[in-house]
Amino acid sequence: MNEELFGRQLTVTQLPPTFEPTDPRIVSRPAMTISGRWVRCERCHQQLEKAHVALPAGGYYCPDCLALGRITSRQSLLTIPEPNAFPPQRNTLTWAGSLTRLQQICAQDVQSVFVKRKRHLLWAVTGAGKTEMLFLGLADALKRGDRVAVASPRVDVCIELFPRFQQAFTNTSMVLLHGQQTEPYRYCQFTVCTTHQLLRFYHAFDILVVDEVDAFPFAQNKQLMFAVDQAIKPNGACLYLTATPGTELMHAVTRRQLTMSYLPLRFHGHLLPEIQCRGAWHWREKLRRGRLPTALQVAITARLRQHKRFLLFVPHVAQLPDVAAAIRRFAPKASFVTVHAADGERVEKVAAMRQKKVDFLVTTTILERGVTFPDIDVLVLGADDAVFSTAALVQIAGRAGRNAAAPDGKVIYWIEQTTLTLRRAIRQIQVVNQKGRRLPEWRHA
Amino acid sequence: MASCLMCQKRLPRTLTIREILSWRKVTADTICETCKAAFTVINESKACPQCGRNQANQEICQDCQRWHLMPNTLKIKNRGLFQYTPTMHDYMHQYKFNGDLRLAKVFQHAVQLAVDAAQVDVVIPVPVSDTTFDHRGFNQSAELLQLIVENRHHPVVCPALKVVTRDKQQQSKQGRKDRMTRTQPFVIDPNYVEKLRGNKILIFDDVYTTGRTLHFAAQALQTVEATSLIGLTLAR
Repeated sequence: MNEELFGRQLTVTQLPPTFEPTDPRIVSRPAMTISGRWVRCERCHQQLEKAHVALPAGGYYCPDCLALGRITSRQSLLTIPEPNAFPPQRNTLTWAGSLTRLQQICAQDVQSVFVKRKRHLLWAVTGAGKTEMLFLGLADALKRGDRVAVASPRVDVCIELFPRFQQAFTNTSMVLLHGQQTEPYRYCQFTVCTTHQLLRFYHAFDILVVDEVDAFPFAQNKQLMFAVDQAIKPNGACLYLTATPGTELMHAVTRRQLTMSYLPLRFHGHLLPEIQCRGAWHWREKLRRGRLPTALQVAITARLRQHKRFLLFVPHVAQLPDVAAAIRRFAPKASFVTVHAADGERVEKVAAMRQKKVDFLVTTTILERGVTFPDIDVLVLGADDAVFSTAALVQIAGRAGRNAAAPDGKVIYWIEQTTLTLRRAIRQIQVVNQKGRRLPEWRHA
Repeated sequence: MASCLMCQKRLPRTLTIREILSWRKVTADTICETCKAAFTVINESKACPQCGRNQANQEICQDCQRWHLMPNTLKIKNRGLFQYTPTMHDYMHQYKFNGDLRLAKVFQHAVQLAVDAAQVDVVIPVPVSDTTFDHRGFNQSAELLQLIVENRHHPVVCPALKVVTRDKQQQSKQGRKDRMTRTQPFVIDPNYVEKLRGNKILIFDDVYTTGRTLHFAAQALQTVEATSLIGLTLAR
């Protein structure tokens, strides 16, 4: 009964019609706390000035988590403390794959973190097989009857992860939650969701895994950091996964608030392709006149001649049509498409690239992570633009050489000036490769 | 830095020399240029002179001709500021039904300009029922008039209308037929009758769809014998 409220925090209006309001287990707390000039939203912990959020009918509302249904100070948040009411399971893991030695070391770290209920960071390079390293620890936890969630800031990542977890844990009840989801909420032992959805949970999970912590919009977002803390049980375990930890996470590691294990080699044992920078002076002016920098033009024609497939990243969506037109000018026969975040055919276009129907994609940061094409080079025009964070630049470089058969793709960034973010990205890859070279698994190309 | 209320994109604001040197209050943009361009302004020279609907010519539209055939209806002139496009629909959804009160700021200035141009004495926002007011927390029409309330002594914003019959269903969820067969929901607040007598009155609503609401409001105000009575809606 009232399963939809186990470990959740909802207002009365958000409850399903089957809800039984007389349940003695229900705990209610005010949706907003009021003090002096300020009110604080209890769901997203945003501190708000009263004058800005007052409603004419009385009370206050929170504009910051409005997308999840408006909360006002007149409402209460209802919750039923998580009872872990799951049927016991014996065979949790239905995954038959195997791990490399390095992966196994990390998987054991993960397993012990889950048992000891600690906070941990798993830093594994792009293409190291992070998801598989979770299976062992998660299977263990599910057997214990723990409630488990995997959250990511990106919807695409969630949608991609869900079927993989479903295959690995066929006997476990599982639900996928995100903003575009039409399916209603179900109480399940295993939840895959976006980090925004965590705002609807209250002390629910024994184990919470946050994938791609460095990705927008999670990085530097206090609201979502709070959502993670509030969704975990006070004695729960939290595991952050990333290929590019930001300074805040690394600080937490040095302050020993977080333990860390890292995997500096890809599953095929090769190093990450290192970033090469080339000058592209006044490329924006050139683009305005309908041309690309000559060096980039040469690089593209050479790859087309050799039938080497590649991705070309540009900083802004608005530049895509201009770049496409410029390419058509010097390579009229090239088959390519442009992809951006609001593109209705995004999924189809990426699939066309994967099936080798097109030679290359021109895209923005939207394809920086989560996509794998076997044998490609990566070109970035204007890598010194402010839209590219250090994490984004490392992730983009990580698209190359993901295949065991072709582990050394080229990564070339065209820039007008060097920036701190770019230098940090180059440094990060060098550091990881340095660590990788010390391992016995390192394979020379 | 402020960000666009609709698309959350950052809004860089560079002050001009004139703004720095003048004593006038600097007004910040609320939405970005892209979002602004997504709304379609209705040009008065290409709209029905009666209801303000966007069309090719300046003839009275079919809708209004139907109104003229109905007994006991006033001929009330309405001006619509923006077309009811999908963008406007999304805006209304977010503003009214999701209750994002901040979005009122997007059109407050445009409404203020239109009210000033109409040269009236009194502006009356169309009211919402008590249950809606309580649930939503605000009256969407009254909030759009906030700038006029704050900055000006003339015209006066006056909540002279009240809702009597409680709507069993939201109008926006009804079809045209259901809407047209509703009964008068408004009464005039007796305290205001004397104050309004002989004034030029403007009725303000957020959306004009069939015109039913505006005509009811006009009928309810018949007793105050206004010198003129016109309508203004944000969307048509």
